[in-house]
Amino acid sequence: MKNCPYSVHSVGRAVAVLSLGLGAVLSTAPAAFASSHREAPFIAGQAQVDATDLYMFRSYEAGRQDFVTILANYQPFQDPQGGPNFYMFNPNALYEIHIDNNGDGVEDITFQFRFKNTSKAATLKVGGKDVKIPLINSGVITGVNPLTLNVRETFSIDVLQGGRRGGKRTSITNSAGGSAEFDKPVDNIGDKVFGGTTGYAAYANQHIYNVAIPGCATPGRVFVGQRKESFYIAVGKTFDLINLNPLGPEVNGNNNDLEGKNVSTLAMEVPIACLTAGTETVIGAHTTASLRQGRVLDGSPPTGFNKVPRGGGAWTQVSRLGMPLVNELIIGLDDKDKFNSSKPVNDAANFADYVTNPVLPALIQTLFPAAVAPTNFPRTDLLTVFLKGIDGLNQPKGVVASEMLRLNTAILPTPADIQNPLGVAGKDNAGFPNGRRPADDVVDLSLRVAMGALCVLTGATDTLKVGCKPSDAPAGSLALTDGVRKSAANYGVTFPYLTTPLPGNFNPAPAAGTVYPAN
Amino acid sequence: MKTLRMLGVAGTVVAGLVITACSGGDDDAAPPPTGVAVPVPESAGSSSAAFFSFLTGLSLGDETSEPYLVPDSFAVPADESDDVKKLG
Repeated sequence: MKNCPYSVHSVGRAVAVLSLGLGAVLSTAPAAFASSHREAPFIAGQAQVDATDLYMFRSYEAGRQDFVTILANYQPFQDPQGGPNFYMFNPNALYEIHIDNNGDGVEDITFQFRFKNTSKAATLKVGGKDVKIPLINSGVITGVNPLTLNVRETFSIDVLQGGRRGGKRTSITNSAGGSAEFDKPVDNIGDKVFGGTTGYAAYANQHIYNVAIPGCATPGRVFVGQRKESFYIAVGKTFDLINLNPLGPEVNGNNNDLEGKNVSTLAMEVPIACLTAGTETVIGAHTTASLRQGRVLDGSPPTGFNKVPRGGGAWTQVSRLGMPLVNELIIGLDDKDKFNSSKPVNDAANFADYVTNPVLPALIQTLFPAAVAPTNFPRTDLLTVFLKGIDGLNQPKGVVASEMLRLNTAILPTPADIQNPLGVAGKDNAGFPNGRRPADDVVDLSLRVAMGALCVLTGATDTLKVGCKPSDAPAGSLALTDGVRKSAANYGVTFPYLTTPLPGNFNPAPAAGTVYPAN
Repeated sequence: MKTLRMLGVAGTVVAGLVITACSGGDDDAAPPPTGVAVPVPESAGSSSAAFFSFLTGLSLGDETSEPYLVPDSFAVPADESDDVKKLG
């Protein structure tokens, strides 16, 4: 961890120029699907280690602008009612957030999250015998790790400087007391368990920790726990051969299919100076989850909690996520597992064809013939935005092509009330693709970029250095959309920004046409 | 009875090997990784017992190794008749 000087305003002018152009094109054009939910064959059966979304932005909470917030979401499509076990993190997995701070495509800092679940084996006396209860709580829950919580879920965070496996390892500790073990709040079982409709929020907030990060002079913050699903999209219609009008209303054109879901979040807030190195202000991030390479299932597990699997061997990466929608929409079906197991530095060798000759625009043209796919091959515009960052905005010096979410930490955050969910395209330089905030509409933006919006934006003289021109992208100025949009007002304005998860007692209205038997 | 036996057989396939094979170097500023990816020993695939033995011999605390490479030729035994092996 390095405390390095940086200039907050060093690239402001270049970005301002870029913003004007992007805004003119992208805010009137379209984009892409679930960010990374169940996107690959193997991970679709491994929900606990399925990374769904990664956010990274300069904190816009008042007084916290010198920090970067990183949110890594896991475990997609959580129904709030999913008891009795709900959605614990996998204690046999390794969850990581990697930071590349010199543009070489290789992690320089890695935050490793590990979980431990401990059953308290709570009992109830029944007919004179103490019998273990079948639930993860035995009553109302208040405070951190109360007696009524039957399964205590804790986690630790290691920091590795250098490679993720061979780097120097230290542990993050609680600023209050110095412990390296943190309690995770149990999921939102329901309003009655937490004493009312506001009970869970108050309970969960007690699990936001001020933390000491080794080598970092200023404390950071950490929260790990369930949140309301933050990604928004008309995903069902999208997979149904884009069964919607991609030129329809951008707001309220369709419903958000994920509105009734929860997700599990790893949230960190780290001082900018502890993530950057030297004079480079751009950092790249991606999150991964790994399992032990070998696993044996116990056919006769002993009494205890989670005793069936026993893992051993090297940590083996099975999930990877940087920029949204890459593995979902760009990587071919047969290479999705490979992508999830790969490292960014090898992207050009492994997956270049999917980016330079993408299938998605051709599919869109097939479904909507008026939306003619770009004709510039190789698609250097997509290589730029996904693997390098845009020059003058979020491209590190000497960048090695590698897919990750890149943030220029020198760009000031935009307060929540004036954020534009189209990010840079909406003249808001603190948003996507310069990092990503919860409300940024990466679906619409990705669709538009796929159809050549950058080729239109860069103009005949290619001011953005993306290697194409407006005539290459006949549909590059179309306002493609899935019809779903949110704003920062739909999220929190303080760490961890993502909102309180839906309670398990959420009881949805019956589907239209439901007929009940007569009493 | 045959159905029950088949169910039991299915239960004997208790071991799974995640066949992800990662490659590539680590950070330029980092010490070299202590683990180098090597192929899964052929002997591990000679029988379900050998595979079970190989899996149970894997380290529970390895933080530095790269995963074993799993060649296409490596066939994981899927014995249809063995009983579930007991773990100690």
